[in-house]
Amino acid sequence: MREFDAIVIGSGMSGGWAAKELCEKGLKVLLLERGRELSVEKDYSDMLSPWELPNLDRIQEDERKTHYPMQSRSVGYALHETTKQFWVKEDEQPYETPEGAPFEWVRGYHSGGKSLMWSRQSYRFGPQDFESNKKDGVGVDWPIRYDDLAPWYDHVERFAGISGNRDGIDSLPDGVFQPAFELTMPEKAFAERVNKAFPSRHVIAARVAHLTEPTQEQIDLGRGPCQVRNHCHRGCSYGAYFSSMSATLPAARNTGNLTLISHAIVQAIDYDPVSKRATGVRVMDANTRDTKTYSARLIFLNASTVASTLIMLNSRSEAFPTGLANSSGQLGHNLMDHFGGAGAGGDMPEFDAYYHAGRRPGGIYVPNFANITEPDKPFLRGFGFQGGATRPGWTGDRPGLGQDFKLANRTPGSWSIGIFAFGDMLPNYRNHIRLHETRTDKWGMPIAVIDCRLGDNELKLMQAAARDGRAMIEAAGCVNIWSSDADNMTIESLTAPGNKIHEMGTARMGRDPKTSVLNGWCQSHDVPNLFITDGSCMASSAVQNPSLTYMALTARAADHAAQLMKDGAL
Amino acid sequence: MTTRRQVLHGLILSLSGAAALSTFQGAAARPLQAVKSGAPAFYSADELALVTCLADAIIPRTDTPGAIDVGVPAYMDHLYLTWASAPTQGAHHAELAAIAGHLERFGAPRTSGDTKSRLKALTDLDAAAFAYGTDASGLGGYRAVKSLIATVYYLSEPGATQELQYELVPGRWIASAPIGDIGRTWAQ
Repeated sequence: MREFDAIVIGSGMSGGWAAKELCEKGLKVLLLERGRELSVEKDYSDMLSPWELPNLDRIQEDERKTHYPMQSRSVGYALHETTKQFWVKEDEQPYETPEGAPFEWVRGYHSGGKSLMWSRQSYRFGPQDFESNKKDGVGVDWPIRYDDLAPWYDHVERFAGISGNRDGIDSLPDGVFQPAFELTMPEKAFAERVNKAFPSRHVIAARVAHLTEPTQEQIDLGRGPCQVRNHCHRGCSYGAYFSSMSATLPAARNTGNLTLISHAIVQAIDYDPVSKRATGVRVMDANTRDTKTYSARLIFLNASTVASTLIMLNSRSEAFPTGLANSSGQLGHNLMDHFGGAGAGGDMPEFDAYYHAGRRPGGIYVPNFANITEPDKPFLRGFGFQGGATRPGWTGDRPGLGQDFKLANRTPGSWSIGIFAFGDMLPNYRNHIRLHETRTDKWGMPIAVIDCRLGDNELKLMQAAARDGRAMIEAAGCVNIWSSDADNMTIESLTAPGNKIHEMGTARMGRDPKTSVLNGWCQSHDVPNLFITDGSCMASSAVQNPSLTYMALTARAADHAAQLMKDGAL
Repeated sequence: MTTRRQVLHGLILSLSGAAALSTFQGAAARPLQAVKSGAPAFYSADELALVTCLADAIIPRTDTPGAIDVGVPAYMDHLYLTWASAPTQGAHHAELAAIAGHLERFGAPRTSGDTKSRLKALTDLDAAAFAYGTDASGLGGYRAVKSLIATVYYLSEPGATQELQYELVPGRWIASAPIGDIGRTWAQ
């Protein structure tokens, strides 16, 4: 008799949800995490004041160059001496990319995965996002529509806790919100002026996964309201922002049905061609290198897009010689990420009689309008903007000495507003992940080769974002305006794939088993007891930060899988 | 012949008064004690004297503690000893040497006593460094060191909480209020 009903691989954003939902439905769940188990007391540094941070919180330069050469650029805002334990050492976890085509694979191997380090921006996909592939004739049609997912967005928002306003924008549906963080005066003026100049555009408060009015359920899990510290990348001792650590894992544990094994590196999933089921998960202990195979009736793969894909590609058998559940040949292909490279900003000194207090964890958001409320653009899809207004604080880079210098720094600089684009990357078969033919990691697993490039549509789209961003800054009456140079923008000046840490698409959902890996329930077309609900399952990227959608897809898939088990279909 | 050390000695006295000079002399006499752990210091005595001089001139004690009071030179010494790679350490040595040379060229006298001339030299150096773009003046090294002095100072407890203001746990968000109600610049 099996010890577990279900195995969930990965404890991050989606894996935590899979574990929680399945545990709460009464299944005995084994959660496999390749990293160590974090401790709030030992690993979080959010209660340190600036003067308690060693060496200005800088990582020793040689150590940074050795272990974090890419991430120190990609996530330099969050990679510090007191947070480095949350990021993988790149030299110990290698992967390869072709010359001239970088992919920034940012990872966190520990309980909670990247849910501990995410930026917490939480937006629903809109109805248009599930229709875009069909409309544009790109990729494959999503097998679901917005209405299929809407109740599951409600479900995950209610539990996770999302602060936001009900903005009434059709393309960015409202949800179950806790009160939003109020906009600053310059941001309110920006919103009003942009909307007046461009009625087709909206500027709203960022929707972030921070508790502002916790529910009893959240309080019972030990979570409290956001303390407006914006030290989130150090972990949150208040559990105020959503993470697996603060929310889904405690909830799963409360059921008594969860077993979490750390340092468990999944190398492959076994397949039985007779029963046509995945039968076991082969694991190597990261420290001892002991191997073991766990079995269960149901498997949820949530190791994150690249890692889940590697596991599938490495699960080769006579039935699936190119990787588990890959009869379509699409496994590993259609890799997407959001991308940036366009921004605009300026100063709004007219509001300098006002200042803020507290360090809000989000700013403003401009939902995509391109090809939605402003049709017929010379490119497919569009872009959203994230940004906000701040008053620069003290600076040493100003003229003057002595008392004059000190006095000048006692008054903050003028309000400054900036917006930065996130573009929709088209699914493209050529963008792919494959196993390295000869090179393995220190656990004997073939390393990833990631070949992902932005194309002409992405460039045109981001050039438009630069121009539109500047136009909005101008319409708002800003001074000292700056913007990205649309005319001289090249693909090389866009952010590299991976940089936005929204990698997705390599085991896409679709209606046809011949052209997609998963069905509308994130269930393998080929292997019915295998579900993949991390970013791999996405058929298109839209422009919104995807974590909330991963959560909703996971909860929906878990509900379906549990029902199938109850019905005896699995 | 007047040594670089004598030049610095005079500069410190003229710019910063006896308190800074005392710090300088103490640092020079006990250079290892500038590093908390007792490990070897990064700065030479002359370099420590220069950093001390700059720190005190840029952020002196006023109605709040100054850069010397909060230990900026010792912090920088420890920072470069333990954080910086060898190339960065070498670059910092070079930029300090360049700053000392700039000060002499801007007229800092080689002997102590001429307070006005020494202050004018640093004032002129500072003005020249900000007159053009960061690098156009060739004085980017001075601006970088000045920025680091300010960073260490404003993120120290006295700098953050007495000169400016800081809340570890704000606990509330005020989007916009009259600046008089909020107060000074937030340290972070």
